[in-house]
Amino acid sequence: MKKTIAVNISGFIFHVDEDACQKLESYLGALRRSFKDSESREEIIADIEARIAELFREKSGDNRKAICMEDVAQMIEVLGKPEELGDAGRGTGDEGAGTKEPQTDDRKTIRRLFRDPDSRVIGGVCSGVSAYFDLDPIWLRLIFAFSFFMFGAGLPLYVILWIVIPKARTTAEKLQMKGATVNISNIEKNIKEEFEHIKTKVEGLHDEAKNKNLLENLRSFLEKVILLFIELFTAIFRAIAKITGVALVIFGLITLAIVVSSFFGLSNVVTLTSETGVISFSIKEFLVKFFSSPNQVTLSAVGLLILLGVPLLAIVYGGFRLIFHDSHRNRKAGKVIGTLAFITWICGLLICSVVGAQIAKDFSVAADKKETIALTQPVPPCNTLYLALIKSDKEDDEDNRVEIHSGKGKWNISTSGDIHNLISKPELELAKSPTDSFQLEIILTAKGKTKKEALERAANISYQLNQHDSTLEFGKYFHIPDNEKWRGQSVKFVLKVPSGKSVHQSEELSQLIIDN
Amino acid sequence: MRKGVLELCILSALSEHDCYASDIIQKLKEAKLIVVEGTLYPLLTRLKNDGVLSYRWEESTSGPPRKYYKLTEEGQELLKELNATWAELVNAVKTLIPKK
Repeated sequence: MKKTIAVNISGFIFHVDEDACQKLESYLGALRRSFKDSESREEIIADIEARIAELFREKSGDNRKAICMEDVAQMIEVLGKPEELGDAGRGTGDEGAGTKEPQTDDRKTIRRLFRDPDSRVIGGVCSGVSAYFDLDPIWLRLIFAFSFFMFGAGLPLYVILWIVIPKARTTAEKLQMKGATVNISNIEKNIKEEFEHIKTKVEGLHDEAKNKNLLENLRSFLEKVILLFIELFTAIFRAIAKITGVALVIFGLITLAIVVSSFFGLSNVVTLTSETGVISFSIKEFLVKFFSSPNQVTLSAVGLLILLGVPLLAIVYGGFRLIFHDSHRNRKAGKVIGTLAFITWICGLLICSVVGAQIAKDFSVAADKKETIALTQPVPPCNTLYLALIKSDKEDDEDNRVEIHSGKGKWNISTSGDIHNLISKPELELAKSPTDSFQLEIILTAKGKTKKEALERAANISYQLNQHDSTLEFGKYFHIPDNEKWRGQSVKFVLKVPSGKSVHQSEELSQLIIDN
Repeated sequence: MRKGVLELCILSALSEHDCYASDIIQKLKEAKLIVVEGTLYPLLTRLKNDGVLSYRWEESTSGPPRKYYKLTEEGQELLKELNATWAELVNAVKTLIPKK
C-alpha cells in the first residue's frame, strides 16, 4: 500500500505517490534554481509544468491511475535534468544567453579549488589558487619563483599543492574553479544552509509526528530521527574538519619554515625538548660542533630534515585534504604519497640512527684530568682569599650567542668572525682543605671513544685563571677550541679552604658556585 | 558554430504552420538535433521576449491549454537572414571539404 498525494499541475489534479511527489518537487526546485537568473523564470517553469501535466495525462489516462516513481523518472528523462538544460542553453544561446545560463546552482556549489590547465606555467597551481582567492596569478607566481631560489623552500609546497589539487578537466569544473567567491561569509552561509536543511527536516518530523498515529509510525519516526542525527553529526564533523584543516596547514607551514630556515642557518629559533633539557640552537652551527666529520654533518642534516620535514609536510597535506573536497582521484594519490612519505621517513630514521650510533661511540668513555695548583697564600694576618670573575667584554656580547642547554650546564656558541667557539661556564665548589693552605683542584672532563682520546680532549679545554696577591679570578667561560667537537666537556674548580681561613666571593661569582 | 542553428531550426519549423512546443520538439527530435525537451522552453521564451515569436492559447483535449507559437514579421525577417547565413556557411564549408 502506498499513499498518494493530490497535486495540481497546471490546473490538473494528479494523484502522485508519496516518493514520486518528493522527487517531482526536488526536480522542480532544481529547475527553478537553474533558471534563477532569468527574468522570465516563472514563464519557463509554467511552460515546463504544462508539459509535465501533458506527459502525466498520457500516463494516468482517464482511469485515474496514480503517478509513480517510474513515471516521474521517465518525465525527467524526456525533459532533461537541470544540468543538461544548462549546458544546452549555453551551447545554443547568443549573447542574450548569458542571463539564461544557469549559474549551476551557486547557492550550494561554493567555489572549489582546481589547477587551471588553461593558464598554467608549470602545473597550473598558482593560477588555480589565484582563481580560488580572486587574485592576480602574477603575484603568487612571483612569490613562488622567489621562494624557489630562497633555498628551494617553496618547492615542496608547490609539489604538494600540485599533487593535492585536482586539475579542472570538465567545463563544469572550470566554472566551479571560478564559482562563488570563497570568503568567510560564503563559508558561513554554506554551513548555515546545511544546518538550515537539517532544521527543516526536524520541523517536518514534528508535523509528521502530529499527523500520524504514534504507534504505527514509531518505527519510521525513530529511523528518521537516527538519520537526522547522522546528518547533523556529519555537518558538525565537516565544519570541524574544515577548521582543523586550516589550523593544520598554518601550523605545518610555519613549523616547516622554521625548520628549513634553521637548517640553513637563517635563524636560531629551533627549540627542542629532550630528556636532557631544552635545546635551542641553529641546527647547522650545532651540527658542525657535534659531528666528527663533514660527511656526518651532511648525512645527519639530511636525516633530520627528513625526520622533521616529512611529518610536517604530511600535516600540511592532510590539512589541505580536510579543507578541500576529498575526491576519489585524490584518495588514490594519497595512498601512494602516504607510502612514499613513510618510506622516506624510515630512511631518514635509519640515517639518523646510523649517525647517532657513530656519535654515541664517541661518548662512550669519560675521563677526568685532574691537577692541583698551589695557590699563593694570603699573607697573615689576612686570612681571606678574595674570589672574583675576570672581566671580559668579548664574551658578553650576547647578540652573537646561541644557547644550547644540555644536561650538564648551558652551552653557548660565541662567534667572532668565522670562528665559532663553544663556551660554557665552569663550576666552582668549595671544600675543606686537608692541609693548612688554600689549594685549587681543577677537574677537566671530556668523553671519547677511548680513555686516551677523552683525556686528550680534556687537555684541550682552555680556561682562564689569574691570581693577584690574595685575589683569585676565574674566567666566566671555558672554551672548546674551534676545531674541537662538543663531547660533554666540563670544567670544575674545587677550592680547598683550610680551617680557620675564609673566602670572600664577589657577587657575580655566585653564578659559578654549585649549591651543595 | 551552433550559435543560431537551433534558432534557425525552430523558426523553420514554425514557418510552415503554427506549432506548439511538443510539435517543435517532435520535429527536432526527428532531426536528432535536440536531446532533452527542457532545453526548448527557455529558448522559446527568449525568442518570444525578443519579439521574434508570438503565441496564442489553444484548448487541448489531452491536457492543459497549449501555447501555439507563431512567427512575427520580425521573425520572418530573422528567418530569412538566418537562412542566408546558413547557405553561406554551407557553401563555405563545402568548398573546404574535398569531394570524393
